[in-house]
Amino acid sequence: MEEYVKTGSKAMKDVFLIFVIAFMLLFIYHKPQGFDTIYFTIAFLPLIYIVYYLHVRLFPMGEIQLIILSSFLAEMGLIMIYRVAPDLILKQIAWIFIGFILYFASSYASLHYDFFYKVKYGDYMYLAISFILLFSTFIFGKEIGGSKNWLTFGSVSVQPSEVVKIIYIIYLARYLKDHKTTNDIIKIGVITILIVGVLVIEKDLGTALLFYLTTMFMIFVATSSVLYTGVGTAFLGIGGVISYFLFNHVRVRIQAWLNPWMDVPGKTYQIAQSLFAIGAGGFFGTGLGMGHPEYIPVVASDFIFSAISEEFGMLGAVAIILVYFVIMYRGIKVALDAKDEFGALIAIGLTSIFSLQVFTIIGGVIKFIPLTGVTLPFVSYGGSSMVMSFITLGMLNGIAVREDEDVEQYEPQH
Amino acid sequence: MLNSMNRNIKILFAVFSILFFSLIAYLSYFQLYEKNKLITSSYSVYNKRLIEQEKKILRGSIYDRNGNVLAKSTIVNGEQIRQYPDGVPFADIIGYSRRIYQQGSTGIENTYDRELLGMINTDPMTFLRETVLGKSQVGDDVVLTVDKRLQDLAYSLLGGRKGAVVALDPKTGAVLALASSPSYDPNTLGENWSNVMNSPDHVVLNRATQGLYPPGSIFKIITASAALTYKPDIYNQTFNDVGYVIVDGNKITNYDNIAYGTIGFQKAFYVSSNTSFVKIGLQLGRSNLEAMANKYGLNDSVPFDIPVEKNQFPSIPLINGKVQLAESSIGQGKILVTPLTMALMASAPANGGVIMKPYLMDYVKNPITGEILEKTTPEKYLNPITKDVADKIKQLMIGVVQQGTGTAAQIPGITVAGKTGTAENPHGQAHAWFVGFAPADNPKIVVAVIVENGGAGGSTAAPIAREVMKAYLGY
Repeated sequence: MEEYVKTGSKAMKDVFLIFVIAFMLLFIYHKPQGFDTIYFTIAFLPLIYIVYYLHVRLFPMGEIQLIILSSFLAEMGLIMIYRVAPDLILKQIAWIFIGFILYFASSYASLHYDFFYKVKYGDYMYLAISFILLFSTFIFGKEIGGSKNWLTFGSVSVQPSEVVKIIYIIYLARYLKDHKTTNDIIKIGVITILIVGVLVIEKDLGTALLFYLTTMFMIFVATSSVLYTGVGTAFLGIGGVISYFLFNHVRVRIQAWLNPWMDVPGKTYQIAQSLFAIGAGGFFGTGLGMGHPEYIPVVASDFIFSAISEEFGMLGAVAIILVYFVIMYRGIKVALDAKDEFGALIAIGLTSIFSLQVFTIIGGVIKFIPLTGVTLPFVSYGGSSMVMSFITLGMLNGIAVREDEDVEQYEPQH
Repeated sequence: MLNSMNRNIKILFAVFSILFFSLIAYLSYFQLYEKNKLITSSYSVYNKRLIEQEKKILRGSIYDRNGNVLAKSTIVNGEQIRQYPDGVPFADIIGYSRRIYQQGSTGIENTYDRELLGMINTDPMTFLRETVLGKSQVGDDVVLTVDKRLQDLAYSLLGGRKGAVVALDPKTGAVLALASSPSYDPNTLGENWSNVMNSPDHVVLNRATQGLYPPGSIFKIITASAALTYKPDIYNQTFNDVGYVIVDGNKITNYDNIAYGTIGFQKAFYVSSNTSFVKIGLQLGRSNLEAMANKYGLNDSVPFDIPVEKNQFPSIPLINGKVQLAESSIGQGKILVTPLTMALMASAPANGGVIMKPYLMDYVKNPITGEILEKTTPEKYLNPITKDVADKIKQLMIGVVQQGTGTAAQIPGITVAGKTGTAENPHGQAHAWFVGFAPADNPKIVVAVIVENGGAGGSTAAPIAREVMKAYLGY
């Protein structure tokens, strides 16, 4: 226990140091954006320290790594966002703050995850909420960045599909725990394809892929069936081919992947600029503040990884990937140690969708796979993504704490 | 149940591990291989980083073969300024860089952009070292094969008329002069951009490499090559020249309608008898003439350092193609060639039948260490005729200058070989052509001259070629 905390605080010290050095560099290279910005930016350090301290206090047996690693990733995001779009930084810090609060809230909530299981008419409720949220964008939705998957309230835009991700995972875990016959799996398949279909029509291809693969992985873990996985993969291939011919936006993405040079001033401008940036960075990077990541469009959200690759080089980029790898590993650990199947399935669902999202966006911007617009958790600019990523880790933490503590102690009295 | 689930979770862990490490593997592959392709490919013009980098690098200089500066960059008030000390005569070779005028890039400034930016050998470690050591970054120097004196002379001989002069070394293909007239002053291009671009005289067109002209009688070198190669007995024939010949009802006349009477092959070449060469062409047939024209690269884009237009020798129709065949034999009709191609054509008889690949860049050097970074090695481009045929053509060309239409190209003390051309065209007076080389026994320079609407090649173009050859050979 003592050792554990010691290692943690050592890591926090490094996180602090990186932040201080990076911002000192940026203040030297670029004029500070007014003193408000400096104060708020500096406020980030006490914020993560308080969060760290609270975590050690409230969840002594919790997944402290998750909070350290997510703080580090959020910090890398802040550095890069300050670098490429300084006026967004205050909003981003606010989102991180909200994210931390919701991390603790969801940790506590999922200590009692049985509740999600025991709730009456759960199946129908979860599905109803999911579909209402998804369809709401059809009616009230606004198209931002080419995808019609945003709801706008005043100055705040939220992506309902981010919320649906978690509700749907809970639904799947709940359903799969008791329903493993072929008929049940077919039912899940039909529902999933409906959801994916809605997302594809809304042009949110990345999220559609995440939903599909996460469902497939959860079914595999619950049923151990190679057949379902095989059929699922086959459907994915067929669906991909059909949507290639059916939807223009799918076709453009695939073509831009196969040949990012076919129309550099137009359709493939983004991916080409991303590749230039990564190439310019090389192995060691240009150094923070010395590259030109501002040439990449939407660099603060979707392409933040390319910006990091340019200025921190391939070594920095690989470090980021390894941080995600460790988070994934902790998620798998939580699933392995979960006390019951429901908890394990939620954990595996959350870990899957998180890891797949990381793979999808990094793979996309480096042209390893076709580019689909999803955010890089914790690093990209954006509220919905930041908040839901913290909730994801919070829930994993809650499930982990539940494993280790005396269960009855937290059982609500019915 | 939980046991099998744990196994499944572990399988999933393996899957995710593979996904994450494949990202790292692909990134490494990208940095090692794809990245280099990215930098060298033509798509790099969309990479604004190159422009940013160039602002920090003092662009390299461009020199002629004798070390005369043709382009250099200096820093005035913290801004880099490109200067062209011999601007006008060289404008169509050197071109300009979009890094200076934004709108585009042409010529040597475009082709050797990366060299001039010093980016051919920059790996990240060298860059890091130079940055740490605080070395000012300089681009590399490009040294051309052209001779400033010759280029200036050629340009001034054209005297503002539209036309071009190409001079090259037949043994190596090194271009000695490549003048295109009229030209513009690149030093004031920024202020005069739209005037220069919209000039009715097309001053930015490099007439030497991009101008397409009917070759006229200088094409008889190719017709003669075909005759000597495919039907050698034609060489001993005689032709009855009455001043014109009628082919399928079309009358084709000699220049100025002169009738030469009964003449042999040699005389027909010396005086450039259209009547005789139409008869030769008709005997050869379309396939032989086309084959030889193609061997001389008349359907090619000549490989070169700066952009060239593709020559055109349209195939002669099998049916009703007699008139076109007759016209093609004397370089009229639908044939269109660049002056550069005609200089190359003349270098075949000068170099034992072999045409060397033309080139402008001699070498690229580091301005500080003097280290040679790139060097052009002469290579064979075409071999249209045998040495035997080449020597016969050379003798014919000597005859043209000694006793035929090209006497104006004579230089006392040196044997000059040449061929004149007077190309009829739809744009008014005929274009004056001359191609030739000297000294005939050991050719050191080949020259092609065209003066648009200049009239007879013998009186307009031949004297220009003579002066250029004289200057180069030191007479």
